[in-house]
Amino acid sequence: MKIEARNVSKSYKQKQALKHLNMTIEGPKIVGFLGHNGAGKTTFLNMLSGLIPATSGELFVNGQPVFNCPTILKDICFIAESGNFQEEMTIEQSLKATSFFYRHWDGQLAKELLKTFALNPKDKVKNLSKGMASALGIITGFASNAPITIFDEPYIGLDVAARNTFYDLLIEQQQDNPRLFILSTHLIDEASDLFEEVIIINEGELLLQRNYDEWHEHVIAVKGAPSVVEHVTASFEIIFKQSFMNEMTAVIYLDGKTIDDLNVKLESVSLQEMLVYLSKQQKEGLYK
Amino acid sequence: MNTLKGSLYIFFQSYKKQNIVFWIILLSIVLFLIFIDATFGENVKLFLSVSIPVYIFFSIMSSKLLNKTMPYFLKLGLSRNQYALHVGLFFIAWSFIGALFIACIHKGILFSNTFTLHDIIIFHPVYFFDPSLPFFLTFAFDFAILLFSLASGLLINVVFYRLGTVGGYTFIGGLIFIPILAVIFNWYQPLFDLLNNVTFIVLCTSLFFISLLLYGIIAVVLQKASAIPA
Repeated sequence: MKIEARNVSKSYKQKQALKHLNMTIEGPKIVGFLGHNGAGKTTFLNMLSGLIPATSGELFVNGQPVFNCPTILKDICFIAESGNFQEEMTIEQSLKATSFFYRHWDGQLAKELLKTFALNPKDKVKNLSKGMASALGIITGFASNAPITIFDEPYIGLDVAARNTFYDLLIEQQQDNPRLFILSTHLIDEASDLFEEVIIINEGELLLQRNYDEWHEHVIAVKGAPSVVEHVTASFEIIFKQSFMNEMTAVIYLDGKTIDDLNVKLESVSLQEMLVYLSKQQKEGLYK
Repeated sequence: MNTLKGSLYIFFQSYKKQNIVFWIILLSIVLFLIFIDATFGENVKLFLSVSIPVYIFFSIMSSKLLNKTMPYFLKLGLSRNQYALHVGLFFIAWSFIGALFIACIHKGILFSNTFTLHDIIIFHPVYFFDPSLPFFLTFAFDFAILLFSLASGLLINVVFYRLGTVGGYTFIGGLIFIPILAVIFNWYQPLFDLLNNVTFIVLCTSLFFISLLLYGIIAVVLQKASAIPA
């Protein structure tokens, strides 16, 4: 499956959520779709699943526009943070209803996963706790066997054990039935080892798209005396910069270049730290 | 075909409870009136309208349909065209069943009148035209009106969905002006004349086609609608 965003923008009344986004995602693989709150992740995922139209530009899957295209949309399963099911229906009815819409639906897997997550098929959706509703979303996503399966914050309210079950299932499913999983999450440290590719959205723009293996070679933190750090990083694109107690930290893109200056300390940056930096940057930008 | 089956299944499950509760209440009222008629019928005259509460119920149900079902169906991968088509088919099936229920209840009341001394007077809009219409024509009239109620309720929902609360109420405010203008400029006179002269079949068919027209407008407006209401 190949997803292409061509100059996609989305504006709401008071905010531009996406700004001329261009990118290509090809699967099967597990993609970490990351960004701070309000970066535009959910807007993009909503557009990818045909829920909202773009203000300008277009999203394509395998060369066909996604919006209002039933042949493409039935290959996309989108599990949002909430509101995935009809409140009046039971778990069993919800799964049955969903089975009509996905041609590769695996009813047997759905039954097994109900036991794994200890859900009672007779329970009504409106009576489920947040964690149980999330578990039902996860079951639906996996059982759909959709070539593009999107999980947007899929484990709100799930405990650590259930989240680990989700990670194990994700790996298992990707081995048994490879497809394009797009996982948007804020629990980055927990999930980062699953990612094969990382996409970071910042302020409605594509900040970075890299294979996860390349991540540590590509983004680095330079620490040292402010004047030295300023000098050393002058020719690099700086993602984030802060000074504290006469020490400056600058997070930069290496872009294949090297830093040989012995007066600075080079440290790798985890995905989680990167998101913290971006979030700080956004807040500072807002305050300014 | 599978998606249509799925959609009808979801609509059925989503509206099952409200329908059961409504029809149980309506039937209870009817049975209670039959009991009152059988017991105290000599002293009281009983009027009953089954159809009008059903028209109102259907309008209310459809006026919330979009918010309740559209985001869910779009998440399941339906296009807006498919959604409009499936809702339309569900409306036809729902109106058919509703009209059948109304007709059966009327038959039941008329049947009960043969056992009780005093008649319950059924109030039905169709009796304005001809009180002696056969069963299937009353059914056809109810079917057309129910379809119209569903389409008009959905139209209101679409207006609020697309334009938000302020836009929705502005639209309703605009609609209120129509009867006022009709009184001021005497527009109602030709309307009454038309309704007096038109045959029952023409009226039913017109209602059916007006409903289809309304539904066509709704389907067009939904083409670019977001799953998130305005």
